[in-house]
Amino acid sequence: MEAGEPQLPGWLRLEEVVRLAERLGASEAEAYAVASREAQVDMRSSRVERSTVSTTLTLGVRVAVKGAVAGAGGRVSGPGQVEEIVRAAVAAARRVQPDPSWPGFNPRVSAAPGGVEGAYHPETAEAGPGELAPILAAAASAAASRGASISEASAAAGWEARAYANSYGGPVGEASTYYVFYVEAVRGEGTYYDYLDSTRLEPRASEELAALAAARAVEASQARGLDGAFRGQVILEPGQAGEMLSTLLEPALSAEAVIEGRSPLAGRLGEQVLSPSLTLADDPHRPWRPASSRFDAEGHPTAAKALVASGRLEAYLHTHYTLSRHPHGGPAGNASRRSPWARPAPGASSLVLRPAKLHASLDDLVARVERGVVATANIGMWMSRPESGRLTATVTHGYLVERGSIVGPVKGVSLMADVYHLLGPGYLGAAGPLECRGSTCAPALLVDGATLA
Amino acid sequence: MGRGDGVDPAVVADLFLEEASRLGVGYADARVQVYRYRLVYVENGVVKEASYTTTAGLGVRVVEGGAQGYSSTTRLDRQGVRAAVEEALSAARAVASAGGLRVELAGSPGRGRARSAYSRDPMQVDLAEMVEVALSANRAASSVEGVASSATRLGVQHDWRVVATTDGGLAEVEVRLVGLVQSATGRAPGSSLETVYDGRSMVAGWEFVESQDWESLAIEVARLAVESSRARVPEAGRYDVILDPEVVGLLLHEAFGHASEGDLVASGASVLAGRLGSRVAPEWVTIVDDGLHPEGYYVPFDDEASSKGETVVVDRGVLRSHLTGRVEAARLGLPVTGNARVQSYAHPHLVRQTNFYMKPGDWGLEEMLEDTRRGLLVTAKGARGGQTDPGQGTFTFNMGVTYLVEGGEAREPLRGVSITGRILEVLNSIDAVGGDLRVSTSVFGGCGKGGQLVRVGDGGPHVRVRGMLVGGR
Repeated sequence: MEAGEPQLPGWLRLEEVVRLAERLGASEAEAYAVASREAQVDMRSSRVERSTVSTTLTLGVRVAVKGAVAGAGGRVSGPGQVEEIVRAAVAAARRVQPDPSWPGFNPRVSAAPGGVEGAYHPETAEAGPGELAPILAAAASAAASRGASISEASAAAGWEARAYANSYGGPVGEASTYYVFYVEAVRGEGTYYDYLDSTRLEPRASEELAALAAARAVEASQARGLDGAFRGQVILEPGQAGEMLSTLLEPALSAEAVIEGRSPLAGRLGEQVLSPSLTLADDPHRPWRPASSRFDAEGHPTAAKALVASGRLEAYLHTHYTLSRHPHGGPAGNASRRSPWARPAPGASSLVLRPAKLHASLDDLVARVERGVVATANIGMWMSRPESGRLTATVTHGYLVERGSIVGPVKGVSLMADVYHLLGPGYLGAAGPLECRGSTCAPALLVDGATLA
Repeated sequence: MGRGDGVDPAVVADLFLEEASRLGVGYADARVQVYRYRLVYVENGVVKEASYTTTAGLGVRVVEGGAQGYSSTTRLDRQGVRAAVEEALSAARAVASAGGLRVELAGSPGRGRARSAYSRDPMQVDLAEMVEVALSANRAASSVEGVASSATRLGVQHDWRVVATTDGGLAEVEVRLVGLVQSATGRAPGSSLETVYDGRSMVAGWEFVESQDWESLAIEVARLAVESSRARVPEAGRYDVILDPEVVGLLLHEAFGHASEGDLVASGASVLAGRLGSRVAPEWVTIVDDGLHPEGYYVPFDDEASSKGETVVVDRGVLRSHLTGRVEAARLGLPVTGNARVQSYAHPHLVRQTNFYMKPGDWGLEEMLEDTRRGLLVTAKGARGGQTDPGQGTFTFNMGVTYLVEGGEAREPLRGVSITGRILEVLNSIDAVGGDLRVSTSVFGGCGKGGQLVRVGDGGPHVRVRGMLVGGR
């Protein structure tokens, strides 16, 4: 961590936590802690409604006793709770069966050299209601200028300090900031919601997003459903394309899913799995992205990794554990956790989809559509099936396109397709720029072979 | 770790009341929580995770000058409590200075103490016993031919909350919740992978886990996964659909329950805004939100200390109520229904459902099947869940195991079924309501809204909907 950046409190030294676990009988141990502070302001009916300030410190301890692994954790505020957690973890490990494949905790604890551009933004770290409320007020004005009001919005900013140590190394630590803006606009029965995230306050982008949401809420009030079902083309706006990647491809690229028999990409390293025009990489050092980091959730250094190069499957997302069980498609460095005491599982930081060619604008893609839909928002895509690649969603906001022109707004369109067809033989083109949200960065995509109803 | 790990929420609540009084705030409330969770996760015969979680903290809301500010802390001594009240007061003043929405509080909070019933405290069960239950279910699923992957999750929870308000409310609630969920991924020769899962959870003690035949459940899940993997995907289009009780619960919760939440109604983001007293469904449809249903989650008080009983939302087809907390009730001029809930002490209040379900009718399932010339019977086994856009009233659900209904029988298994529609149109297309009410909850998930997840229950009887839009090939 750099001078002036937030750190764990002085009474929480992770190397001492690890040693305590070892003294209590652990063969090996790891400790992972996250301290954070967040301020959030909520808006309802275009008026600021409330403000929330929270500070948390969470500790997770996992231990192995002769290959049996268990964890304990929770929010802590003093050394007494730390010792309780360590004792609970050691006691738990003594009560479970050993994992015959247990390789030990990550032996390579370190952070990738250099820094991540924009990882920590002091102004964002210190933002409070006084900085966030004006962003919401400006958003409400922007929405009003487009003929809609804001039913709900929020602006949240804060910092997070992470640190990791285990029996073989550490601690490593780093601090980062984040900003999340969410907006839902309403006009009559038309609504539209969207969000953006960054490592810094984004007042201008937030205002623009509110204006866009308002314009789309107005359009949605006149939208209609489709008449009948047809097989056609779909243009996925960047946010929709990104959600498809995180819902269907990221889980299938997990080495854990490969090992445990839950991935359609198992045994396919070196094979053509997507269109030769598409390259997919995980970029954990992407500038200004909240998920970017120099080490993963088990203290392993991170590095950019090509997962699919020109359509060929090159690598999987790996943790130290999965790489020891399936030594193909490495390296490790992709560990993520639901909570600091949960087991690490493979996950992406920023899954970046790069087409070989990018058209200048979405209009270029629309001109190529014979009959299809532009999808700008959906519900339910997260329920798609990564084990089979089956994509299902309902397009809540979109446009019907016929013979290269937009006919009008549509809503409630059922969408079903095979993601490996859409991004394989069904891939027709992409238009820039790449937009990043959550753990994905993608351009707009034109794909063929979806069932629309 | 002990019952509250040295923290007595009632003592912390007293400290809060003293500090709020000392600072002279207009109104304040506190949520003191001790939360403990144990999880065992077994995948393909290996214990992948065995974990204990314990968290104790205090959340404070202050309403000052009509503006709300929230703060939270894990430091539960007088100094920590005082700092939390001061921080919430400061946050409220910041909202007031930004010209924020003025809030008022309707109704009066309750006072009481409630604890869900149990015989054997799940938090005292030896972890080795939990592991053995999960392992035996996992092995049973793996023994079914064609199963590519088997995963078993066993969880137990103890959630102990005290809510104290400066206008006299004081509610203490303890809930124990246990459950197991089995998932299996199957692949018949020449087919793609298909995952099915099913489980059971109950507000109870370990005796519920002991009473269940988890191996049979696991084997059934595994067989369904393999069967589903060789099933075909139906053509997209409109079908007469019989929904099983869990699907009805999902549908009502997502597509109708959220739209009836008073915060969404007040901000105009609900398709039900302005419809109180209107007919929204046929007369054979009655929908309630009940914090005390014995098969659902246990919510005798909400997180504002308002008591929560049964709220009739739709009475024989007519919309009678929205769900409210004290703020929304004041804003909408409606009664307080006890639905202001928080995920944890650190979160602000949102209007949330408790156990949302449809009351039973008088159709039998066999009768419904016999009366359906051609249609689908969809179940929640393996369903990924659902999502709704409450403003438009649009919903979508990714369904689990599904059967083609022909000639009065559920015949061919199908997969890849999603259902989509507009809730008011779908409610009005219900022409048969079964007599077999089932309500369920889960120790592994709940309802997500505004970044918060709370435990809920939902359900209903079997229901038939005419002409439902089904996504398929």
